[in-house]
Amino acid sequence: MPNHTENNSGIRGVSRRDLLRMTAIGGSAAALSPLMTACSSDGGSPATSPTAAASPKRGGTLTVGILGGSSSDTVDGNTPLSYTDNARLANLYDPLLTFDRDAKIEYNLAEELTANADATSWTIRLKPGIEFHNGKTLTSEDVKFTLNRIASGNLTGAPLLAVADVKNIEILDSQTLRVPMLAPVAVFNEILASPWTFQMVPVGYDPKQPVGTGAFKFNSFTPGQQSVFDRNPNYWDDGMPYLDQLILVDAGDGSAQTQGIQGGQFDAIDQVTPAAVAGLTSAGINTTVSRGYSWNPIVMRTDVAPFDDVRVRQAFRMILDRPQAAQLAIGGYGAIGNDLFAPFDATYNNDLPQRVQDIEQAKSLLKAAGHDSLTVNLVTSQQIGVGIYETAQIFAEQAKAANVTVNLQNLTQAAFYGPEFTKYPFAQDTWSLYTYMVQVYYSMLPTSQYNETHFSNPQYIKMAQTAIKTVDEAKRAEIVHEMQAIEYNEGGYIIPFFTGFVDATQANVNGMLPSKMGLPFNNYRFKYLWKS
Amino acid sequence: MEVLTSELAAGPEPSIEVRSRKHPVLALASRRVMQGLVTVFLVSVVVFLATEVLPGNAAYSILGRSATPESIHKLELQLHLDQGIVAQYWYWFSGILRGDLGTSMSNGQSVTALVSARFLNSAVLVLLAGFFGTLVGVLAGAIAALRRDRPFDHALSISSLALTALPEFVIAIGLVLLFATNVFHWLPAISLLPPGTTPLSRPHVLVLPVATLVLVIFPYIARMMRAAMIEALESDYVEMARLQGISAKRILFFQALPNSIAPTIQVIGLNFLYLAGGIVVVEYIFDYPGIGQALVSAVNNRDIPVIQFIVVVLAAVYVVVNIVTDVVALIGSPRRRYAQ
Repeated sequence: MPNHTENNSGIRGVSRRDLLRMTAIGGSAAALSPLMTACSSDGGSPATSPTAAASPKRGGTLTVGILGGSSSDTVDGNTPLSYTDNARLANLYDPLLTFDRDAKIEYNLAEELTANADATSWTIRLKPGIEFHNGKTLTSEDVKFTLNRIASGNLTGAPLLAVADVKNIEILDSQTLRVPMLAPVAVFNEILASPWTFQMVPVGYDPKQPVGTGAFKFNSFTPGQQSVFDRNPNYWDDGMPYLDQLILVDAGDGSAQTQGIQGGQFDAIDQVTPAAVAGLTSAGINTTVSRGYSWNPIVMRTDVAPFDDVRVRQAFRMILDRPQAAQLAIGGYGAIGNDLFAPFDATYNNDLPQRVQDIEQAKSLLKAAGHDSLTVNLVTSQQIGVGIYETAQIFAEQAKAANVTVNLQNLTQAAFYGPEFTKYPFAQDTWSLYTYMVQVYYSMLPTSQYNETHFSNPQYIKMAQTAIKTVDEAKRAEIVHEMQAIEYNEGGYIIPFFTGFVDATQANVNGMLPSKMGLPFNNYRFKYLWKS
Repeated sequence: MEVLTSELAAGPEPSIEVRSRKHPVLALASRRVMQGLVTVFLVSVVVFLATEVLPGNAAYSILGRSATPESIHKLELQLHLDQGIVAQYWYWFSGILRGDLGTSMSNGQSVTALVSARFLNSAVLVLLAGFFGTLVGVLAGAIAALRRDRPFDHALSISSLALTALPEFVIAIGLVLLFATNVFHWLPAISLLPPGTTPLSRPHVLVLPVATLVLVIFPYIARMMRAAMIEALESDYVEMARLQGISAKRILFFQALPNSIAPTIQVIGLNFLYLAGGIVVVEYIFDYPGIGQALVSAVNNRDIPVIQFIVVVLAAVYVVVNIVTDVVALIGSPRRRYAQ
């Protein structure tokens, strides 16, 4: 009987341990937890016990159909650009820190990270005895090399690394190094845990010989077609991986994926559309819903008309019926948003009331701002993520009630991320899982690379500058709560909901558990899966 | 592709002027080859301009969301995207003249290495589909003509009408549901082809894509063949042959068939032209690693050298198939073969 497994959408969710305990006693996670609801649209009865609790078996090949892929695919550990890249890199390489299934930061290659008292430098200690695929032991020199490679090569993680003085990294011993900051940074550990960006490579790394410490080692790779990786027998994480071989196939679009898994050519596929879930379930294929914290905001540029008037921004945030939009755009597989990012962050402000649709209030705010009716262009793209264009359509439809005409401008991905990106007056965007302060650094300050809302509130900037150097988390939380109150009242982001992902697996694939990481397959970590 | 269709429209009735002393077939072929070269050149210019007009360029597409003004600038210099349109075109064209097809902008591999295997895969698909489509079409058409107004004839006209009304993706998905996913599980639902293997070494992955294309093209060929055959069978020379007591078999193979093949060849040619472009959809549905997939990916990446190469080869295929059908049709119709 097919499983349909979900995690809950709330912030105070059950932990992974709770989930394991519940599944271990043979009950259904979905049926037992009041917070977890089996989706009624999946056509299935409450799920049977997820098989993660059984003891894993070694061997076998897992063939995964990954959505997308093109000739610009890469296996370079430091230049990921797409989910298909991430699917490869997450198995070949490891970062120092990562997020676990509960979106909590956990140590990966690092054993410990500590800031000094004023957060002007960070000391990183590595786990001992970790080997690269070529037999070389991971040392602090490799970490120094990787961070410098990213910063000097202007690779994917470079903007985030700009806080650190990587040229002057001090090697303390073979397992320990000290990274000086250019200005005090209390959240360097959160930066290094950011998904996609900080995979460790060995000194002298050549991307043509993609050597990492990951659970699988490189065998072959053809951009736009497929990659074959073999089990790393010397992997550091106990007993893992279970599979002998991992084949990642660029499956182009969703219909080839569902055809492939129903025809038996794929053992697993990622990013299943909500509409396809019922069909897969009835064909005996298991689906796992991960309600994560990736988010696809509608972005209002706060320094140009009409959005330079805070009343217009407030009105636009009241237009959407959020639960309905989440249902229509992503099949309800996501948590409702409150126009604030990073709800998983320990410093998140839970006291701000949930924003709901209020067309009358929106109309009166617009009227006060001098707009009896308003026409705006919303720049969107069907190619930048699941449910994004649909959200734009729903917004346009619901805005009519507030006398707002929204014209959709649907661009290709290449055009969307062209020279105008981050300069659109009104557009959409897509963000992965970053902690609150990392996201602020990335997109909320005038100095941010992606300050797409052009938000520039002097009080907010001052608080951000204080918060980023506040080592004490409780004190930082106080400041963050105030910052979020400002964003909640004046910010330029509309965050109607967070995105969920549905992965599908054949009945003989085990080890699937929901993840709040907001990426498919718990960030494509196939080391957890095994075949029976 | 306007240039090509007008070329094509002029195709079926090659008019030979008796100016040169050359053999009419040679004259036609050499003139068509010259025209074809001009056509291919124009296509390359038009496609290049069209790619330039598309918003964004390879640098933006490669760097995507992580682009910074500095990284964009660096990459544009590297890919010669900072130069003018004419200079960029010349850079590509002079490379072609030297026999250098260039390197892909999105991953630095040579264009030849990137697409040659895919061309081979697509060629296998087109040739197999063309061969079986022609075989089935000609046979079915001929049989229907011989058994005019009998059950086989009616069945063929109804089924071929129905098939021509269905878009190829409907046929493909129907076959997948029937033979791969829902009813039977006999054949692979998608045509996975590990890099380095040829489709001929894994014939089972070819069955559904080829079957789809055969079902798309054979009705046209069958209908044309049937009509031409009926016309031939009712013609005066067949009547004459019958009166002379020549056997029905001989009449069929030496009188009716050759005369009905000539018009049918034009339709077969047209179907090969369709296949050259029509496989894109079928490759997409079956995730078959051919040029269709490569072209879509190249356009998304604004990968000009790859786009140009694929389009130029496709245009060349159009031109060559046109010339070949005209020449074959000319050879196949004695009345037009010799200058009067």
